[in-house]
Amino acid sequence: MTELVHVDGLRIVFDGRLRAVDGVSFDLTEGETLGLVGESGSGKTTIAKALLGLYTPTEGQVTFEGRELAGLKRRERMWFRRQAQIIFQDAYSSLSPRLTIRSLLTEPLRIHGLDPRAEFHRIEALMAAVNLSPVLLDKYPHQISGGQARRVGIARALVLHPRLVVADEPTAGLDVSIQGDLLNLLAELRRQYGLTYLMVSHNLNVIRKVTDRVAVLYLGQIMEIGTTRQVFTAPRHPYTHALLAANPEIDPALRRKKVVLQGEIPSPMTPPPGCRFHTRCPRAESRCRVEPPELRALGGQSFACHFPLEMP
Amino acid sequence: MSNAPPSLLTVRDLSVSFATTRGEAKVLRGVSLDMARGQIVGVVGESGSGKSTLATALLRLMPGNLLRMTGEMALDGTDLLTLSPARMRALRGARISMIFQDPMSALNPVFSIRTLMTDVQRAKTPGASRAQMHARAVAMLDKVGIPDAAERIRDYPHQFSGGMRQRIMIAMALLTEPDLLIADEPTTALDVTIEAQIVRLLEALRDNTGVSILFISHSLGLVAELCDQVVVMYAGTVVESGPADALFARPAHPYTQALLACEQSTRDQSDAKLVVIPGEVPDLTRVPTGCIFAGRCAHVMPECRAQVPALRSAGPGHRAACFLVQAPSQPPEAAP
Amino acid sequence: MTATLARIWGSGTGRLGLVLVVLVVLGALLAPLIAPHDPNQIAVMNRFSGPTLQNPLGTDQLGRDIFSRLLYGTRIALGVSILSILIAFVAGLLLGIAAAYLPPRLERVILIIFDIISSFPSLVLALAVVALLGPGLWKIILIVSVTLVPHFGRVARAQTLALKNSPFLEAERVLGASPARLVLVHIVPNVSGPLVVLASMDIPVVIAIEAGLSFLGVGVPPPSPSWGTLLNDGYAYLDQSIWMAVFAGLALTIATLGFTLFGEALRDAVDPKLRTEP
Repeated sequence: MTELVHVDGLRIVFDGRLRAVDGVSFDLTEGETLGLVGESGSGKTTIAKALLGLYTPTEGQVTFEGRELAGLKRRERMWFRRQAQIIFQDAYSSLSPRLTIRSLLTEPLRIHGLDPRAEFHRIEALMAAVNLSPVLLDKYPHQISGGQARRVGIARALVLHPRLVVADEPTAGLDVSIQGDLLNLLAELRRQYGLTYLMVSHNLNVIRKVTDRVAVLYLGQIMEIGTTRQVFTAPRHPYTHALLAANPEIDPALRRKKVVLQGEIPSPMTPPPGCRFHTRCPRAESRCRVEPPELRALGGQSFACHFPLEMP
Repeated sequence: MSNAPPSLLTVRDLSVSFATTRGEAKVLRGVSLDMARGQIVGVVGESGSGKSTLATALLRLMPGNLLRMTGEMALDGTDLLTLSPARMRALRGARISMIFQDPMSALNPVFSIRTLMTDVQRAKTPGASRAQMHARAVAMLDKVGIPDAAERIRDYPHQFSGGMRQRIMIAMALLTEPDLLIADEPTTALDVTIEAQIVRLLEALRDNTGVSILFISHSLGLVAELCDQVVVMYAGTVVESGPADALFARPAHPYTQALLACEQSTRDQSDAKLVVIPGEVPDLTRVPTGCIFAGRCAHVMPECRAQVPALRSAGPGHRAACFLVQAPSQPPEAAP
Repeated sequence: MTATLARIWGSGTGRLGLVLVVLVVLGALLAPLIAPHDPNQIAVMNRFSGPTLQNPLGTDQLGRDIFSRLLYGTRIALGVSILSILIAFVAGLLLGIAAAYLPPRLERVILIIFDIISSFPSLVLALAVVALLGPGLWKIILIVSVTLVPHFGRVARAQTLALKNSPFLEAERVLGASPARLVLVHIVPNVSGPLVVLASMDIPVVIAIEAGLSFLGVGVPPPSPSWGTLLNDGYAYLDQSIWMAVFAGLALTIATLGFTLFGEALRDAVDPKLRTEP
């Protein structure tokens, strides 16, 4: 397995004071699906967009196949654009409203100097793959349904045959009876096109189902990262544990002992010193208030905590 | 009705339709519901189920394109449907309160929390002095977990986080000691750890004040954890209702079964495909005859298309609107 | 395009506006063919004539045919408004988009310029310039367009700001679209829609400004048959004949009413969010 993306000490500060991402490192292996979970202010979307080069790191770096994104020359940047794409949360607003579906789907080809006519087979194949009728080609985004818009957004992201696809809250606002359709489609496309996914979501059920590994974020830092199975079944970080316990369960047998976290999520403008989580942590001690814990690897996962939970 | 405990809220055969450009949309059809004092009743359903319309119908806060509203709804014996507009206004806030998904848009941004909370009381207790009303407001904010309530009551809505705003909304709703609190997706806009706090708060308030809560949500998990009774809605009708434990352990309606199967398929970590309910929610301007779920049901039979199934008993207090529901002792097989 | 027209035709006031606009535009285009006389041909013997077969709307103080003069006046009214609005449109669009993308300090400079310009009413500014430099058609066009730039510029900036962080522009950036492509293919068309509506609503305003200036004698110099000049002459000789004032006023009313109704119908028709068709 080759390493596709390497994120090293990533720090992104907005307006000189909003520390959206504060020292995050992780790898993304080709073919895997990595999930980023966290609540408001965790920086998960900012990290995802930094991976696409949409934000310039204040510190640290993002490398794609060994090439640092911030230092890409024009030609390399165009190459990178064909490697990494995004599926947006709100499908409608990610489609330029005055272009037809046809133009929207051929535009990526035109941007990269490919002949839309000669390459139209790509679009036909993708439309078939995402189950879109060719009848829609001459419609405008506001004339199609929400589900169709989502599929157009996905097809568009895949026209250039990227290797990395970032999915930003792909199931947000979807009813549970139909969200499976979208997730099944993403899984199918992953097989068909050999994609690597970075899946951003606050929905723990979705993350648990579709990711191979997961990073749990809190206030711009990774609290815990590891294989999804391990993080979900044996969380070591108290925040991960609390997050999982807060996820409502239908089956009484599966409900974890409730640890309702007290207090608010602090503002990323003024993150607490020491461990970011100490203001709400039931296990916090004086050391946590001053000394930020390092991310350390133990078994299949890494966690940043001075007083981790025992292995069950 | 005679041997049942006296219910606080009774809804019988409530139907509501709206005028739309596509014709009459029958968004609620024959909805019935009973709520005992001190209960938390969950109304669960997906987009277009009519669950939010039910909430606004109970308060008679209907949009201008309301076409028809028939049936019965009574709060503690007071018929809500025939009440004069003035008396309905007096009842809103005083006996029925409501909290919304987005607490920011429900709190007037130009007033301080103190002003907002004093105004709410003025209608209910006209004789109270400013100092009394202020003291009650602070006590209530304290009760819903606003730290430094005495100080923070001077602040304005935008100075609070989403979770705190929802607590303030709850405090305002409870100031008048209502019998019924309607909570329409109160945690949907909140982070999951904050959601857990609000859910605990609602539970504690019910235990301490005895307020009944109609909890409207799309989240099966949340409803399962919080509610005593559950009403499952689909496309404007109640398809199943019953005690939460029984309903989630032995769902009787194919829709509830399918919904739970969708939910449960996200649990297993295998590569198995996620379960979906094929098809779409029917267009409520063209309601098909027969069972509303027939078009998407895995167990559909010819009679389902001909006739609307009535709610049948599926266990003690547990009812489902499906022809497959038989004797209470033998619940139908769960969906595969 | 045809769909937009059909939608305008579909609304009652829009239909009236469209008919009036077409009449006015045809009048301007076909003036040389329709006009029964040379608009500047003097026939002193036949002055202050009422409507006759020969002079359908009568004649003025020099015996010139009012109908012909009004027809040619349409060309001035439309010419001035379309040209000045076009200039203001393009300048406002570019400045507005630039303001939205420039660093805050330069953005402020543009906004301050907009504020300075809009603090002068067009008419007053025009009076001042004409008093200094003398009257002239091009000066009028220039003054009107300059005073309209902030109008378009502010809307263009607001629209661009609203679009700037929209996911679809982000999607384009991820696809590798260049800044020029972002502006030309995605921002300009989306910003132009509301500006076109603004422009159509500005036409009656500019027609009135041009007529007003000419009425005051500082607009298009005589003998050009501006509606304002005709109206002024009509008032001067109201004792001798009411026809000049009546018909000049009627022409102005028809044109401004037509363009106003048309503009409003256009606004309703082009807003894609109001469309309900499948």
